[in-house]
Amino acid sequence: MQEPTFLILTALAARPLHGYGIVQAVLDLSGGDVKLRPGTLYGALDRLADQGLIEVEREEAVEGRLRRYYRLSDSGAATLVAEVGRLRQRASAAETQLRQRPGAVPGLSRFAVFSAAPARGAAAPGAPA
Amino acid sequence: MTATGWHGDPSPQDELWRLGDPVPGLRPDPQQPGPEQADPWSRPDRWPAGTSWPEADPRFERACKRLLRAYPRDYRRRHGAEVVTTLLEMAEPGRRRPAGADAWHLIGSGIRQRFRLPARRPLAWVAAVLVMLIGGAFGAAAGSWAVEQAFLRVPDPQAAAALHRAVSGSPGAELSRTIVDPSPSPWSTDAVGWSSAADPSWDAEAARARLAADGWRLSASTPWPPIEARRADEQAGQRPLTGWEFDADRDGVLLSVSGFTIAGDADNPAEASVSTMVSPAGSAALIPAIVLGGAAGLLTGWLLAAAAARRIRHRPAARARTAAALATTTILTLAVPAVALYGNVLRVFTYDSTLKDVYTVHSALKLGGPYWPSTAVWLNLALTVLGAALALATLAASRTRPEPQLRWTEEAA
Repeated sequence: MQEPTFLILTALAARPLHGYGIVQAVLDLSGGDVKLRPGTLYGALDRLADQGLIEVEREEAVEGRLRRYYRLSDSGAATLVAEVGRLRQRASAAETQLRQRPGAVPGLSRFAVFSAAPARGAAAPGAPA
Repeated sequence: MTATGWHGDPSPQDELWRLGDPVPGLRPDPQQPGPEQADPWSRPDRWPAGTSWPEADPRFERACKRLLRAYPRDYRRRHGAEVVTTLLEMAEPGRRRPAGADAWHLIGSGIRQRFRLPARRPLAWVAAVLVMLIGGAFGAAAGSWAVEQAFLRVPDPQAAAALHRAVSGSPGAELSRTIVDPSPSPWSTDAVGWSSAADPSWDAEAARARLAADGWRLSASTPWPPIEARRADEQAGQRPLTGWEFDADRDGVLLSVSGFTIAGDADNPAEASVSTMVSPAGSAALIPAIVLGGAAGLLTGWLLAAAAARRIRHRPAARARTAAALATTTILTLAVPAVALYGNVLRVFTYDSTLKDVYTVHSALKLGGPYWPSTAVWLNLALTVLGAALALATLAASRTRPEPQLRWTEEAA
């Protein structure tokens, strides 16, 4: 699953959103890294709706303006759960590998702060100050 | 090496705002999403008055609609209005048109959309590949046909007869002139041949001199291998026969000459016979035209198939079934002439180009000899016409009509 797809499904996981709402939610969720362009967004929405991962929840139309709200379908939620599991597995595999690396790994400390404090202690003594 | 972060080297400040502060770059609206304001976008009733729908600069909107022309029409009908709304919402105030990079991205996305097939429809993929190949075959045929029309002189029997007289010389000596129209080949261009008895004094060198004076470029004259008993079964004695063959070309016309004289003896007068064959000389444009036509055909085939597949996907089930059945019939009908055309493409590329026949792709459709053994000569052409009609019916059956509540108007674009 590509990152924009993952982020769009994530954005729709909690609540239905319309196009611009998705762009903002994705920007937020990605920590400002991913600013979806309309071409990417609507390409993905069309494809995801095709695959049955999202559904149109409702529409608001005023004078030629249209907001179409999309929600994550049950199958979309299942797909996202599977993807989350896959990513978590990948991330923990990467962490495990990094901890087995001799010497200090710059940047690994941040992992340790949030998820694996003891491991940081193990790696720290070898670190140059 | 100093500590680097996940996204490059974020400063601690970066990390801090990621943890919860509002994200810079979001629309500076009073209802910026924050942790304490969970769902601003899903609750239109909470939007402050006047900001809920984007202000429309008509120029900006027109620019958006122009850009959306890159998208297929069925897609514009489904999504055009909401894409424009989103573009307006994302626009910085005061802009007259989307920024250059965004505009190009939108055009690129639209073109990509034209190539896309519906997801999870393996049969649509199979059909699209087949339609693409069929398109390639007919595109190559169109290229070859265009070159024949433009550059290959299809001989006219009367002009060929005049040429024949010029070669055989002394028209008065013609005893009988017969057209030896070689049966039109489904592989190559047509040729017209004439054959006649000539004056016994006919001389290949004199004929060559006449042609050269007329501006024909001549190949070397090849004498026939010595034949003595040519008519042994008909004639009592054996008479020496002398024959020549040569080609001449001028203005894209190829003239193949073959003639012989038989010496007279006590019982038989001397005789001579001349045959000419007029056919188009090849054209250097033929292969490039076939390649270009084929490539354009492959592209068109895919785009047509993708458009039909997307439209069928959004039709009600009954209509979709009708359209899919029509599409299948179309593909099966056109597959036969397409295979014939690919056979001819293969011949163009693999057969000896020094042969006198000019191999063309579209000849498989002409009413010459039958392409397929033991079939009617018109089989390929008839299937092509039928297939074209079925293709039109398929496109008509898959056509989407604008939704009753028309939200997307083309005229403003």
